Amino acid sequence: MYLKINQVSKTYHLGETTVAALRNVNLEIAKGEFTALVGASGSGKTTLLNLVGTLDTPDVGSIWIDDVDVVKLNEDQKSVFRNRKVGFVFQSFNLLPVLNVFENIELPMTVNSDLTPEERRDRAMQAIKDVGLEDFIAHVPDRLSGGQRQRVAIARALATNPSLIIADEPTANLDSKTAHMIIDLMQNLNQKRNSTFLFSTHDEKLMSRVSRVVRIADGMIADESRK
Amino acid sequence: MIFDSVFWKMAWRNLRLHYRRSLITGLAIAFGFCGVVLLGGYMMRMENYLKTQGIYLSHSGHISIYKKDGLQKHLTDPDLYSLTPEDQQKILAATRSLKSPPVFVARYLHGQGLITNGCRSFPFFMTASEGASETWVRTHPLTQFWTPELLALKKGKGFWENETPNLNSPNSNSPNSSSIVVAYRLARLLQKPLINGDANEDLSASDQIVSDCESESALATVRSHSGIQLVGSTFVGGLAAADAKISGHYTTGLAMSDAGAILVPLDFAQSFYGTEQVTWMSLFLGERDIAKVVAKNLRKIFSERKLEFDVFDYRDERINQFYVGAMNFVYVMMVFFLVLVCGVVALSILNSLQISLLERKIELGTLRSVGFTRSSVTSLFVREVFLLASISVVAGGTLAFVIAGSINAMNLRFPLVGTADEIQFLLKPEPWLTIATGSVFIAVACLTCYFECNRRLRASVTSLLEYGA
Repeated sequence: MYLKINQVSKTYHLGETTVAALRNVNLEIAKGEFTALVGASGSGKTTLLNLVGTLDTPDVGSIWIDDVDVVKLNEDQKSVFRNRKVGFVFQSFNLLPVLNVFENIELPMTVNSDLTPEERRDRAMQAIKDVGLEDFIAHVPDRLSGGQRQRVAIARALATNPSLIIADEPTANLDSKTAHMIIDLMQNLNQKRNSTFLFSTHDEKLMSRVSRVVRIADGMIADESRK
Repeated sequence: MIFDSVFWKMAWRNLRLHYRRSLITGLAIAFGFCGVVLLGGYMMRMENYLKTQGIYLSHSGHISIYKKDGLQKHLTDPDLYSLTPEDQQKILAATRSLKSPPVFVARYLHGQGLITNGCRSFPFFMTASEGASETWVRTHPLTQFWTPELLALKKGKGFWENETPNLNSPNSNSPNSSSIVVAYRLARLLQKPLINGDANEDLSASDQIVSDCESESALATVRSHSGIQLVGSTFVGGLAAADAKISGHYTTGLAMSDAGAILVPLDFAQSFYGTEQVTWMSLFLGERDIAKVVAKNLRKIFSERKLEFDVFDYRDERINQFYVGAMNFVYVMMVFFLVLVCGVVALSILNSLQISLLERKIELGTLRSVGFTRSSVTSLFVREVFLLASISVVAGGTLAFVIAGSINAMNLRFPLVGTADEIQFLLKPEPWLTIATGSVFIAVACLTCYFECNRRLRASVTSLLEYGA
């Protein structure tokens, strides 16, 4: 199994209030699966994605990705792990405004000392082709539409050749037509690169497009379905 | 990563993106640096003025050599605590064996007594030197550059003028050895406005004895000629007395000594005090930074040869009390202002960073999520501050040099505390000091950024990625 979540719980303390975001979550995802996490706002989707993406640490439990217990990694090791193994796509794209399309996509690779500048360039160019943005290579994010920005964000996530791509509500800020295009793109890339995709959404229309849907409610896995 | 151009590009573009904030922070650094450079320029002016005055015009040289305990006791027991001709030869021989021999050696005699105009007497402090060495000192490029105000006599001519210094024979005697130069304030006390050879001088009046100093004509008689009398005690305790003519009025450069100083030819002083001895010998070196080392080597040579001489370098407060005291004060002030301005720069950077880090919180989170470590994110911000501080320092330094050049061209004059006369308000920022101070500024700015970014990046990545938090 590529991703294995064992008895993971996470509690947030907001002043005197304690919020149990996740409670004893168990989940297994195979290599190359295209999985949607669905649930209402505050159900714990983002918390689970953050934990899987090593952006946060669970209070209890373990998370294994590609045979690595990521909970036990220190901060710098987590950074390297994210850089080599995980790609992120954010709801608000999170592109750097001072960098153009190419530079935004190349950025995560600049901290990978195993890559030569030529390899970085080739990978960035390939990712740009994969998302169909060859004509916008020198554009800064401000001059792109929402859909184009999200495609840049996907290309940035793909350029490092990660085995896991995490997307937190990637279509939430897009109109439905563009949202479907983005999902199509993600599915194509999933098949082409055999990367594991895990993304959250509360768009019911999108759920019919994915092979596996995991429902989450009140911090627990409520049910799941496969096509 | 350090040399990766994309990070420098990001830094530069971020500065441009937030150009108003960058401009304001940059101006704070530039003006602060400009102020420090100008202050440094003033400090260099003061230091060089006082140092040149001390080394050359107060005749202490870079190194001065006295008989053992001679500095303290040469006035009370001059015969025992002055340098005999044999001592002088031994000192010259020792200087020749130095790795960095002096470029010039001068001999000086220091004495005291009373100077009188026939009616009133005042204590004098005599410095006697050879004409050749006085000429060498007064034509030296450093004295010409830093203390031109002190070189020109207030009136008349010095006994050293019209002589060519003979470096091989610094003992050459002055041809006009009964002409002396008195400090201009002492000349005023003595009621001696005229100098020897003045067209208005009444030569016959110098032979007259003023019998009634209270009479109206007495003052006119005293003022009508340049003659004075010196009275003192010879080296062996006898009476010393001599007539002399005032050939010029000069300034020592120091207010405290201008009311009693006289400068006389060495042979005149030796004749007056009945001695062949001198009080000290001064060594003038090619570069002043080696004075301490040369003094140490000289002490070692004297010790090996069992010679009992005291050696002082010009930074010794027993020799150049005013210079050492004034510069200590100036250094403390300089450090105080440097710390103050660096503090302001650090706070400006901190203030700007606080806003910048808050605005770019999501960017920090994004960078962390795509694999940047805390230190690599910090290095991005440090690059921005480095660029901003470097540009500001170059701009501030350039502005400082322009201001200094303009002020110097105005020839403003001011009385420096403790000095005898007004000096030009010169600002002479030293390139090496400017570069050193600029480096300190850049380092302070970068360190401030480094610590603040590190502090901010201790937050979890998820909290950095939260909007509005």
